[in-house]
Amino acid sequence: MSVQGETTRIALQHEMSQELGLPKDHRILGLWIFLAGECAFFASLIGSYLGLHNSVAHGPAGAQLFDLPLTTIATLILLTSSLTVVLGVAAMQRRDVRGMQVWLWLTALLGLFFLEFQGYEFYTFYHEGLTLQTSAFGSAFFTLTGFHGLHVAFGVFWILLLLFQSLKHGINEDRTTKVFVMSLYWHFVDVVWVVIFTLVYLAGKVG
Amino acid sequence: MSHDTPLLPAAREQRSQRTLYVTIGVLSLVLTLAAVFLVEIGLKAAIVLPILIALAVIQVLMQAFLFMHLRGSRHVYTYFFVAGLMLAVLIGTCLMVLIQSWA
Repeated sequence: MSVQGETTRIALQHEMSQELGLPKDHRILGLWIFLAGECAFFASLIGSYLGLHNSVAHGPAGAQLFDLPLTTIATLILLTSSLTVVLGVAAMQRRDVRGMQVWLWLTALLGLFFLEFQGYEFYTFYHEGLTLQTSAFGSAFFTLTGFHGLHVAFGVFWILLLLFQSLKHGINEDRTTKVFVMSLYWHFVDVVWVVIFTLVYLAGKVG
Repeated sequence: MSHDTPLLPAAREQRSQRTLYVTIGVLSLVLTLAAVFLVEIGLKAAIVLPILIALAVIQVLMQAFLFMHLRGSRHVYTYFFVAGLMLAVLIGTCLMVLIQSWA
């Protein structure tokens, strides 16, 4: 491409970016690289769980403990939060700041509901005799779901931070980038939960 | 032409985009309920497990390509997504097999 052509291309990209408030390339790429690493992290936890889920020692097994209706509700809540965050990004793209804020509030709320469900589940399992020390199954289960819960908690904190920033300072190109990157992270956390729900809870019930 | 994120759509496109998001969101919920139903009716594991995994894969791909905007974005993001998935499957399978043979 000629120098003039390249200059025109860059100018057009810049203009498009200004006009649309689109996220900058390097931040999104950076997040995708981070997510690839997170895939490996969760794969190691899921792989360990699948290798250890039958090692229950004298403690309870997953099939005895898992409360499928409760976990299904939690899963539906988290999946709904994926929809609300994508609607928030869509609102942001059409410069509807109020709409974006409402969708993000809803997302944070749904994330908190999910965490409440998880806390209740941990509490119940603890009282039914499953702890980190009970068995290899217990260790693998709490480590996997606990780390996922931490990711959700971080996501909620991130959403609230962006919300407060947008309430205080409004929205600009830099903040739209942040919201978009946060939405990618949130979807990833949902995707991981879909895998955990299938391989841990549903497969655990099937046997 | 590929770009970083979807372009700001015109009013009609915005509506169709929102409709698409809601459809995908509802479909995702329906697939989850279908998976739970399959488990609850008590079919054999050999039949149910492949179906459950297939349903999960569909949900993951829908989320990645539509909600995470991989569709229509730069190919490099898709490469990282696929590389991450392949790495995940490899690590997960290796660990599972190793631990099971060891335990």
